[in-house]
Amino acid sequence: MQKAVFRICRFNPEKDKAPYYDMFQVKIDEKMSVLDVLEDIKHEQDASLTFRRSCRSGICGSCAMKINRLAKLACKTRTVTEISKHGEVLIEPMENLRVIHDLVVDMDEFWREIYRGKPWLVADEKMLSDFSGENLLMKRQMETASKRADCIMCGACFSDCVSRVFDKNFTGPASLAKVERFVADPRDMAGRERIANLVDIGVWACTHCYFCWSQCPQDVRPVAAISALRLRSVNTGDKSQGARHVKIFSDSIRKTGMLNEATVFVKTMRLSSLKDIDLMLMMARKGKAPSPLRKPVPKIEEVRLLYKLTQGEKKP
Amino acid sequence: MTTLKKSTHNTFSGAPMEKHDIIVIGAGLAGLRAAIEAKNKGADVAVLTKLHPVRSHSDQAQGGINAALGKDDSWEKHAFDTIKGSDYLADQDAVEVMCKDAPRAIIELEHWGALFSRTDDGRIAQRPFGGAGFPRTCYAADKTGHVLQHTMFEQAVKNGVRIYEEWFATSLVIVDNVCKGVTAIEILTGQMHGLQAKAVILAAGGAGQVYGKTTNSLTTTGECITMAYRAGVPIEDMEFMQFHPTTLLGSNILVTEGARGEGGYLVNAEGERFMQRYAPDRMELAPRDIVSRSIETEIKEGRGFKGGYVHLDLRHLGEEKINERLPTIRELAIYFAGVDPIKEPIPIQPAQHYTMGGVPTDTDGATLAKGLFAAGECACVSVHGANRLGGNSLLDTVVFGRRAGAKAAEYAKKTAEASFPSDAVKREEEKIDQMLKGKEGEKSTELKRALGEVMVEKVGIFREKATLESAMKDVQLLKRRLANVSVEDSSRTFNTSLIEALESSFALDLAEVIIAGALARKESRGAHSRMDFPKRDDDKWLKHTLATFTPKGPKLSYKPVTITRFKPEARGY
Repeated sequence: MQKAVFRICRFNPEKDKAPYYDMFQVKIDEKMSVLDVLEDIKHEQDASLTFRRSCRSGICGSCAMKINRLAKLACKTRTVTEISKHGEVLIEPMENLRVIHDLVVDMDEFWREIYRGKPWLVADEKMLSDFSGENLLMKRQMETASKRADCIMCGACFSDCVSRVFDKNFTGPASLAKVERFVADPRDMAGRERIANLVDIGVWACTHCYFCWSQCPQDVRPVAAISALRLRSVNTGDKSQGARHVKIFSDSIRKTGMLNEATVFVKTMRLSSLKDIDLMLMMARKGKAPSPLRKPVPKIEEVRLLYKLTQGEKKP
Repeated sequence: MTTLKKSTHNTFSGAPMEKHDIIVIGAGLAGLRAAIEAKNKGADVAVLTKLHPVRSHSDQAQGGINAALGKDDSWEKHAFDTIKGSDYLADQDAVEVMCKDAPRAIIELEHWGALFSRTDDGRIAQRPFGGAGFPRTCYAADKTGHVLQHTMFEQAVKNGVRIYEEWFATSLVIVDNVCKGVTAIEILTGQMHGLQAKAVILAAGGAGQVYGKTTNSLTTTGECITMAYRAGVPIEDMEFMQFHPTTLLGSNILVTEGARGEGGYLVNAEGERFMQRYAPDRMELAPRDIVSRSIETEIKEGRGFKGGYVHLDLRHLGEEKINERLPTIRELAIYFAGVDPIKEPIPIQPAQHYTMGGVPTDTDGATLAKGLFAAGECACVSVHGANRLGGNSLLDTVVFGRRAGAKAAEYAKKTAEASFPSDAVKREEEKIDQMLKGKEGEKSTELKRALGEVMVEKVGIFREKATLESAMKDVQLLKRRLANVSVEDSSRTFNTSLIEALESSFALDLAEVIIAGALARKESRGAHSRMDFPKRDDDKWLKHTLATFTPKGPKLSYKPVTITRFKPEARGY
C-alpha cells in the first residue's frame, strides 16, 4: 500500500455555481485501477462523488473520464502508472459534452452524432426474410469492419477531439468509425448513400491530430477510418472545399517537392481568401509565400516516383 | 431518434405518467430482442434501462452462442447436451424449442450485421465448448456479447424503438395478479414516474452482485427478479447459481470458456492437468459445475497455489492463435492480472457467473401473473436447469426474447388499457424521500459488501446445513440493518448513491431466497453441491423450487420437471 492524492473536479447543479476541485488522500496498491480508487472514495470518504461505471473490465464503456487531462476508461487505467507519470491523479469530466453531476456528462450529444451516420446495416430485404443460410464472408473482407466494430461508444475520442471544439457540425471520430464499419461491410447496401453523406456530416473537419487514435481504449483508430472515407469520397466525385484542399496540397508537393502554403490557401479558399488578406501578408513576411514559379527541389523525380508507387495502393 | 431522457409531463395524480402498450425492463439482448419483435408486431413499445443499452451486461459475454449448424450436428444432440448439462433439471419441452430455433436465430443475427468469426471458406466458425459433444459455439473472437449487443442496438435504432435511458425501475404494479405497469426513477432528475402498460417484459439480467466474487457487472443486481417476487410472483430455482471455473485472480473478471475450447489447460501447483481425475474424457471441457468443483477441490486439498488459485495455461496455443481467437483475454490478463498469457499461465479461480433461476415462464415468456412476461437471465423457462452450458445463455436471450416480445404484443392487442392505481407512485416516492432524508444510518454499500462475503463463504460452490443456516441468520440481520439505511447524498440529480442503496435492498431479498432454496434441497445436483447430501436424488428432488414472498420470509413449494424424450441417467464426462 502507498499513499496518493486524487484531485477531482466536482459540480452539483443543485448547489454549485461553478465546478471546483476536491482533494482526496487515498491508499492504493500496485493493482488498483483508477475506478477502484474512485469506488473506495465514494464508499469510504464521500458518498456524493458521482460517476458512471458498470463492467469494470473495459468493455461496457461507462467510465470514460479525463484522467490527468486525457480521456480514458477509469477501469482500464492503472493508478500507479498515473502517479509515476504525474505525481497525482487529476480527474475531470469529458470535454465537448455538458456536465450533469461531477464526472457524469450528458451523452445525448454524442449519440445524436452517431445517429447522423445511419448506424445500422442496410441489408437486402430479400435476405432478411431468408433463413436458409449465412452470407459467405472471407476473413479479409471483414477485417476493417471488425476493427471499427470494436468501438464501445465510450466517448473518449469525442471528448478529446480538437476539431469538435471548433466545429459543431463535425460528427466526430466515433461516428465516422461507425460509418466505415458499414461502408467496409460487403453485406451493406447503402455504401453510396453513406459516402454521399460524408461532406454533410463534416468528414473534412478532422485535422488529423490523432488524439482519437491515442485515446481509444479499444484501438479502433477512428482517424484511419476518416482518411479511408475521405479517399472514397474524393474517388466518387467529392468537389467540396475539403476535397479540393487535399488535391491542391498534393499537387503542390508533386510539382515542386515542397508545400506552397500561400497558393494552397488561395486555391482552396478561392475568393473568400480575400477576407484573410492580412493573414496572407503575415505569411509572406514569414517567408511562407514563395513564388508560384519556384523551382522544384533537387531529385524531384524521386518525390514523383513516391506518388506513382503509393497511388495505386491507396485506391479503395 | 430513439433515446428519450426528459419526461413528458402528463400529470396523473400529481406524478408524471407515461403510457405504452408494452414496457420492457432491461436493454440487453433479451430486452432489445423482445422490443424489436413487439414493435414489428405493431405494439407501442418502450424499453426502460438503468444504463444506456450498449452498457448492458450482455455486452460482456465472451465465448459464443450455440446452434447446431454443422452437417453432422443436430438440434436433438444440442438438446441432449443441454439437458444432461442441466443435471436433468431443465424442462425438456423448453430446451427443444430453444435448440430447434437456434440456427434460425444465428442466421438472423448474421443478416442483421453481426460480425461472427469465419472459417476459411467463409462460413460462421464454431468452437468446442464445455459439455458439448460437437463444436457448435458460434463466436466473434472472444467478444461475442459485444458484437451481438451492438448489432441488436443498431436494429433497435433502425426500428425506432423508444428507450428510456438511465431510468431505474423500482416496483412492478400488479393488482389482482394482473400487471398494470411499473414505477421508475428518472436518474437524471431523481423524479419518480409511473409507467402504465398493458404488458411488462422483465429482461434486466441476473443477480451476480449478490456474491462478493462474481464476473458480473457492478450493476447486475437482480432487481427484475426481486421486483416480481415482491409483487407476489413466485420465483424459481434460485439456489442454482453458476460458478464460472476461470475468472482472474483478485478481480474475478471473466476468462472465457473459449480459452479452454481453443485448447487451454488447467494446471495445479504440482504441474498436473488435474481434470483427468474428475472428467477423464472431456478434461477441461467438462461442464462448468464440474470444472469449478474440481478446481475448488484441488485448492481445498492443498494442490492449488498459495492464495487459492490454479493456472490456466494457454502458452502451447502460440502467439498467433491467442491473438486471433482470444485477443480480449490476452489484454484483460495483461491489464488486470499483470500476466501475458503468451508467456505465462493465467492465475484463475472460480466465481459466481450466472443465475440459472429466475421468474418462471412458459416457452412464450408468460409468467404466473397476467400481462407479465420475462426473458433472458432473469427468467427461468427453464432451459438451464441446475447448470447452464456455456454458449446457451446468449441463445436463450435471443430465442426467448423474441418469443416473449411476440406474445406480449399479442396479449396487448386484445387487452383493454390498464388502470394504474393512483397510490403506486406516491408510495415509491415516499420510500425514496425517507432514504434521502435519513442523516445517520447504515451505509448500503457496507451492507452489500457484508452480504457478498456471506454468500461467497457460506453459499458458494460447496454447501452444507450448518453454514447455510448461519448464512440465513447473517442475511436476516443485514435485512434488519437495511431498514435503517441512509443515503448520504441528498441531491436529486443523478444520485448514484440512491441507486446503489435500492440495488442493495433488492439483492438482500434475493439472498434470502437463494439460501432458503439451498437449505431445503437435500441433494447435490448441477451447481448445487451439498457436502452433507453428495448424491443426486431423483426420487425426491427431480423438481423445481418455487419461492413465494411472505412478510416472514420465502415460502417454498415445488413443481415437476417436464421430461419429453431424455430419461434422467447418471452424468459422467
